[in-house]
Amino acid sequence: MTHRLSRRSLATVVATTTAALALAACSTSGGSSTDKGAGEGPVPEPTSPVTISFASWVGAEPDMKTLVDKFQTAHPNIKIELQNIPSEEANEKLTAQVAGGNPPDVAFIDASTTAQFASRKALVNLDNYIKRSEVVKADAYVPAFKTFVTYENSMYGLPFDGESTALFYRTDLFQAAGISAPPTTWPEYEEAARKLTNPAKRTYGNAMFASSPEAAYYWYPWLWQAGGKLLSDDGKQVLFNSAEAKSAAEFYVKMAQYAPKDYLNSNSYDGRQAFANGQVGMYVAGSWFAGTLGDEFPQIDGKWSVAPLPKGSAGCGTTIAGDALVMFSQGKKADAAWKFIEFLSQPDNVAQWTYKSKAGTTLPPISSLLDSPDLVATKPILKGFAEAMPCGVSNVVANPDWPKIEEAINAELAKAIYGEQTAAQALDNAAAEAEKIIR
Amino acid sequence: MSARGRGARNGVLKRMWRERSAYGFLAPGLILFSIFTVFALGFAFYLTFREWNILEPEKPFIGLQNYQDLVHDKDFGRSIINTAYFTGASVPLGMLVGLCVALLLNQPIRGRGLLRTLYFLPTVTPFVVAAIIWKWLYNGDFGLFNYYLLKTHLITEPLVWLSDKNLAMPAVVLMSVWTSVGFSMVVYLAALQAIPNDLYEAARIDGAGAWARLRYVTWPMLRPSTLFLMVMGIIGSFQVFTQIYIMTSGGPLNRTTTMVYYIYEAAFKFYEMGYASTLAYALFLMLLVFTALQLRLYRRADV
Repeated sequence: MTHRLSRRSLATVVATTTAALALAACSTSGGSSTDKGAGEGPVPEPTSPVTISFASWVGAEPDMKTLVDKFQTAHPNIKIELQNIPSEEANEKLTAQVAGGNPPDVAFIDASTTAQFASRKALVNLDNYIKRSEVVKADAYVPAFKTFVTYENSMYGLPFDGESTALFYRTDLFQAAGISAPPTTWPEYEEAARKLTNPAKRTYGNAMFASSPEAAYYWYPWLWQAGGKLLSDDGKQVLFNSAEAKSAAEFYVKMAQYAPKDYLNSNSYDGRQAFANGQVGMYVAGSWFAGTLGDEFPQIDGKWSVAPLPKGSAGCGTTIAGDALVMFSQGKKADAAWKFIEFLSQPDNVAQWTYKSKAGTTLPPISSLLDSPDLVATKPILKGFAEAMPCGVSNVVANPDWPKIEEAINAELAKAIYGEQTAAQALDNAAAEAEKIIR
Repeated sequence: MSARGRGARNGVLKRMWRERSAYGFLAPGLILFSIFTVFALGFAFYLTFREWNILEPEKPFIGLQNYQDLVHDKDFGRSIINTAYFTGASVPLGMLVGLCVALLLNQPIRGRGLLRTLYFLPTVTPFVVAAIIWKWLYNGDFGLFNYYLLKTHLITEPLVWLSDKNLAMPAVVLMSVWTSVGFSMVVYLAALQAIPNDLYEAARIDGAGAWARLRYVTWPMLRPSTLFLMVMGIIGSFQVFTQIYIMTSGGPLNRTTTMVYYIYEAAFKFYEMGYASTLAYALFLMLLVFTALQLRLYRRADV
């Protein structure tokens, strides 16, 4: 599941994309996208062969190939042409394609970008189709994921997979340190980190990164848990230096003393080595990390487990993310495209793509699947992530200047982690910078 | 226009016609050069007057705003200091080590050819590969450097080379010196072999010892090579990127953010092509001045 790896860089690009989509707007030839799919009853099957293009970074994955084959067998008149784009380039490629009047019919995109594309009229409003469908039900989705794909009260995408951030921990190290259960509160987290840290033996409580974009990204869950926010809802006011945010940053920065110094300037992909070779007892990461660990480090199978992130003063909080299926309004084969995403969105196919796939460790964005005992029975490792889902908050801010602001948070928090300033100073400095940046 | 002027131009045209086949041979290179260098340079200059975001459809003309921003950009100042630090440390060190190795390998010792090859090997190793290997060597826990330093009791605590804000730049310098020694060695070796033996014989007759011969014969004779290596070294070091990108990503705390890395961030992290072009022109200007100065020195040394 290498496509997970770029989640954070993707988020950085998102805000920039907002502006990019103005490009898209220019060339969308006026035609309203809302009338697509108007009608009653099931969407008819095409009578002559049509080919629809499907852009994604997962087309080469065996599970996706299986689903596509299954669809083509059931719908012999519709042929799927796979366009594979690396996830880091997906946004730019799609933007360029829309601008050039040549977008794919269907795409698999980061769910958080859906509203941006939709606001530029680049996507088909799916409400008409969903109304006629017997398979896709708008109410069936987990609300947090539905929010990702909703723009002006209409759904422009179908959530297809998701993930939350949780606590990975080494059961063997916990046992050795005499810790009976994963921490559920901040004080317990610190207590566990202290017990796991033994500089003489070069073992540490948790992993921390003072690099960009990790310094900010791994702070967010603590921020949510303390009841903090990044910006006001209108995006004009800086909220990340509130008292709650400062308490979160102080705790987060304090945890650096229980982290191996060697990885401070690395990123989470280098840092996973530290977790795998037993240097680090606790590691905060998204559910994609479970798949990565399983693939790359089979030797530690059974020596690690996953729990929800500890709770803060405002309760639980975790960063969530996901992917969605969308149709582009310039496409001329909307009905056939709908047939395809409707097929993929059948609950059994969503299950097949997420928790039932061989290597995948993503969560289904459909409530009934997420809550079903089948999920934990199939992939026990996903239990913690599924439990954390109701506390999910998205770290995406729809402001084109957000990447610069996030960079300021990164830089200032990094200085605090290196002990050059306090956590509170870091947030105040970043906030001052942000206020200059916000137009 | 005077008749003479026209005549001269006719002469040039005639000569060009006579030598037309030469231009045919030059054409492929010239065309590529024009498209990918001359045009790119001109276009970049045009970009410096615009707010040119790859993704935004509007590319407004903003006059000298980019240049104004550049003057007030503290991070850019920091990147110049870092670049100067890197250059000031890696260029003399690489040349010094290269000279020592060259002097050593100029002696009739056994396995000389093999040793020369070995020292030259890092120069032809792809930078990316070298940088990744050095990243492992520097690792605090299983890195080879710490292993030997601890074993020989030179240090008591493992060093976290690339994550230590004061050690990161020296670590990058050390790795860069390793890659550049082979080139200086080869240049110095060639120069050493070109020094006529009579000079040494004359010096010996005058009673010069080994040190005096090095000081008064070898070193002055190597001066053109030294200047050549310095010019090339400074131009190269000012553009250091790969090692930084792979080993430190400019961190920790921007301690290794060099000019080219900073340009890269402006261009490909924030998509601000206009500003990145302005930064690139600033770098270009600095290199131009440096090179002009050095070439004057070089010319003087040549006589």
